[in-house]
Amino acid sequence: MEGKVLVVQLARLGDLVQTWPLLRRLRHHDPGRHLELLTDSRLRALQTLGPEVDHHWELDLAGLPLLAQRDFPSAYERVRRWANGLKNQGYDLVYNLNFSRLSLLLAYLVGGEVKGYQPVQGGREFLREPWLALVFALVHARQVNRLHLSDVFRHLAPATPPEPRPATLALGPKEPVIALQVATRHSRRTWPLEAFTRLAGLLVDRLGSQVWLVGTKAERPQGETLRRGLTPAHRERVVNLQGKTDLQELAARLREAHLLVSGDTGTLHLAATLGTRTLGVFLGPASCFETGPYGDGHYVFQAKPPCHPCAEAGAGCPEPICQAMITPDAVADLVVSLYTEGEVFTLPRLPAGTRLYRSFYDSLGVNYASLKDGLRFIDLVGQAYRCAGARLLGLTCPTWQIPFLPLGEEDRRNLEGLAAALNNGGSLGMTSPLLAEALTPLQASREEMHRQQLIGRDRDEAETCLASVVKGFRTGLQEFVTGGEP
Amino acid sequence: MNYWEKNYEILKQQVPDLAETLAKTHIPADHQVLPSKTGLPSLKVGRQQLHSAYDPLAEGLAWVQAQDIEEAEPLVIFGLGLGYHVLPLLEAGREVWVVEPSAAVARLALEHQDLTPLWAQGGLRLGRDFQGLPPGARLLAHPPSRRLHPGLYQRLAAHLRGESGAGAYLRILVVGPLYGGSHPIARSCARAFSALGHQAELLDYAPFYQGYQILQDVTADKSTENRLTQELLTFLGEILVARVRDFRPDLVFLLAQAPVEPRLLRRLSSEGPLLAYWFVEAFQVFPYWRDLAPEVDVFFTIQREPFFRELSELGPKNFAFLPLAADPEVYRPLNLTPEEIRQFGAAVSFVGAGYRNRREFFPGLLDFDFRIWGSDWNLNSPLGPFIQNHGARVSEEEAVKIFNASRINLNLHSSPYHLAINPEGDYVNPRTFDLAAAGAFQLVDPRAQLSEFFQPEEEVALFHDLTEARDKIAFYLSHGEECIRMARQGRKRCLRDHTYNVRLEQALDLIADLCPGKLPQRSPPEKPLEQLRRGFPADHPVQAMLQPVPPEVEDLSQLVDTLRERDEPLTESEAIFWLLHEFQQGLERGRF
Repeated sequence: MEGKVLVVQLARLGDLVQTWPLLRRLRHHDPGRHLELLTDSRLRALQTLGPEVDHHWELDLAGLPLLAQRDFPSAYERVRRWANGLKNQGYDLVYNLNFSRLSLLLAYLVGGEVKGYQPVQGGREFLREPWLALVFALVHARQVNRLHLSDVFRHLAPATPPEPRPATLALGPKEPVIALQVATRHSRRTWPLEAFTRLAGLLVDRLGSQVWLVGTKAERPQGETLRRGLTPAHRERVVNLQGKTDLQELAARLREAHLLVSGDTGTLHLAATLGTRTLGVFLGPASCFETGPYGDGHYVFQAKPPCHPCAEAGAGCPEPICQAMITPDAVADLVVSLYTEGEVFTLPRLPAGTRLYRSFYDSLGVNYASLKDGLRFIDLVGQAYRCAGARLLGLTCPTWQIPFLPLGEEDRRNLEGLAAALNNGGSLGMTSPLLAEALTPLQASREEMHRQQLIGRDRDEAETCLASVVKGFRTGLQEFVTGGEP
Repeated sequence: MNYWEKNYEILKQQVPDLAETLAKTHIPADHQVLPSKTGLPSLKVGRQQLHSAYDPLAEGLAWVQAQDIEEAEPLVIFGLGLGYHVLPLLEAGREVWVVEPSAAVARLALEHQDLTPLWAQGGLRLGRDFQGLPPGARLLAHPPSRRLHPGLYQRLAAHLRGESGAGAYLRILVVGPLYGGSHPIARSCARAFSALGHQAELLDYAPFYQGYQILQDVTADKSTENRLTQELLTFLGEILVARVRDFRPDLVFLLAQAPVEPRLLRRLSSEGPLLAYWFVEAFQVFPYWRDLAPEVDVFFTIQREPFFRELSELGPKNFAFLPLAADPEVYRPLNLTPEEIRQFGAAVSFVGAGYRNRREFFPGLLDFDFRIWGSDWNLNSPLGPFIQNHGARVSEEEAVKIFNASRINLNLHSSPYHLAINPEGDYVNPRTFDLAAAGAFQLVDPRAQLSEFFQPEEEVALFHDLTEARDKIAFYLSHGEECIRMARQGRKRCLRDHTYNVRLEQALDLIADLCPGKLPQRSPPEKPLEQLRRGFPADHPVQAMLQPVPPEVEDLSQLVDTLRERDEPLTESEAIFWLLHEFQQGLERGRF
């Protein structure tokens, strides 16, 4: 295909790394087509680590806002020259991946056809294409969302024969090195520092491993607190690299580590894409289905209290029960298994309210399977929406290849109730909150399609799209209901 | 017919508002008309002689001859005095306008001179009212008037030069006490300074009050308690110094009972700001003014003599009279629910603390439907059953409801030394202004200053003793329409003359008068949109974008809102503009 392509990704490290599968797909689909990438200039160091593109554009997200505050006309002039530079490239296609006013206006200024969040109404409003509309609908019921952010981005590009995936790094039998990323962006998704401290001690005791603390300079005090909390014997095995590595060096260190233990962070995504094994410790708003490490054979230890996943916004949680659910001892058990056997063959005793997931590929991308209690009702609903997504994209419905435990009585009843509600046109009548949650994305899809019609989406197109989602969802459910145990 | 009647007759026909104002003007005790050596009256205001004590007529003529005046140019004279310097110009047939800072001086002039030609050949303006003065007129100053009011003179000069005259834009830090009566005054002051267009901020010590109270119970050892309290006060002072260093105010405006002492005031002063202290209490009762007055640049009082004499004897010359006022945002007429009227209303209400004179006076009123609100009352006394909420403090929100819900609001000024009404009471308490602003009917005891602020029996009702109080309560309870009329008049007067906005504007003028040239002449900060217009060349596309923006749009957020509402596709300028606004928003919330 002719013409240049620009991918706009202005979000942080983690999001940029999770955009790499899209870039790989675009390259694989049309290796000769000119591909360019626009990112936050602070992530420049990632340019050589990610998939190769023909040109990198940078937006000075650190400097421009300050300049705008100090000297508006100069900032205006700088943005104008810069935006004109992009516009003059004459892109045929612009991928706008961020749901933000900033990138919407940028896409509008650059011109050309836009995929993803498309500017409409003279640049004032955005239109989600059908695939993103489904993703948006699923955000309304995150418990059942089984679409990974990388796949959300990746499926904006045309389907191709499967693009190459990064391989897992093979490390020789040398002294074990376990890397820990102790901080995350939000307190709600952060495993307590005391837990990391105990974990570090256990790893030194049980594996005799070196422990590397990775992260930024701002996070360094936390690493120092961790080290102070250790006995001298443990402390000498724990190296604090926080703030001592740039992104290049961080990548090099992650490649050398046998395993990274981390919350939902940019470091975790970077490690996964580099091929380093990872064990995610996910709690609060973090859900492995959405932003777990992308690839095959990654593990996520997920705290799953009834309130999971909670909202990211707002202050600290008044009752952070999820923070104590995942114990350092259980994490240490898993790390030992993963280091010694490469997999978790024998499940350790998992603390109540937690799940252990392992990632795998299916026809849609990366999914996670619980190793402890198999599929429950909520998983089946999530899987059915995954099927709806595949149908929307013209792909085959992803199949479940993991041994499947028989459904419990209650789950089966819920499934039948859901099927009945769907036959009734999606009307719930008097049903349980669980069923309401299961049907929320369908309702949100309807509302989004209605909104889109108001800002210019063709009515037939909107209805076809909605019908496809409903049909895909029913097909997905049907497979579990009639097929019994797939 | 005397001069006043003659002047008033003509003035009433030509400028009825001014005539009414002057008719109601009360002459303060420090305005003295004294005969000069030639027998003609001369005038002294405070210690300033406005005319020659020897021959004011000759002095006025000499002043006119000394002015270098072009033929036929209109004249604006700052300061009327008793008019000796104005009359020769009127006689020469000149167009003459006079701006007199003080209504009392103007009233005295009209009592002692025939100024009728002034109304035909020009006019008189009072205070800051510069309306209708001929643009480009020649400004002449009556030197003693200018000495008394240099701030207002500068303002007038700026006005005649065609400058906005809005005055300088100041950063003002208002400092209140931890608690007590001057705390709400401090809040109102900060609000009023802001309303006057300044950047004003209240350093609110109220959150520390609890800590201060706790200290009182820490130990039975008095000297330890004193030491701890002293350390808390030192700490509060450090907070003030830190705030001054950060906010860099031009003026620190301190209210009575603010936790400051002389050493701290000297430190604050060395940081650069001008210090003004508003001593809103009785100097006879609270002697701490002796320590503070010499340390500030301007010391405002709510009493004149003999306080002024004592201040003069102490040393400082930088004091001025600044009476209390009301905050009409707080004290306002309310539409109360029947439930609120039941809860807060009564035939007769009183809000205030249980001072001795009130405890002595109120037992004579217990046969009325009477409610007493406030603290420091003895519940085990005949007044006990009349005291509401077990003598709890009354918040401003409650007070304004009580004022509105009660048919008669009694206002008996406090006195720790008297049995009932203080016969020497001079200053007017805040409640007088608050009640007037609330549009509530009040029955108040006489005060020397009262008639300067409110017309007795027209705008407020007075009682001189218990018998009169009882008679008037009985009368007004059966003449509700009279109460409503008087309350309405009182509120009108209060909103015109006695709001904190009015008062603090006077305060700033007084500061400019007492400390000429000390306050910076800084222009108000440019509005963001004006700044933007100035930042781009005239032919820049951004100017075209800004062209249709309505004048009420002042900042970038509002401008972006107008972009949202337009129909045409965003132009390049609009999109870039919006994008830059997003940058700024992102910077504020810490993410994009």
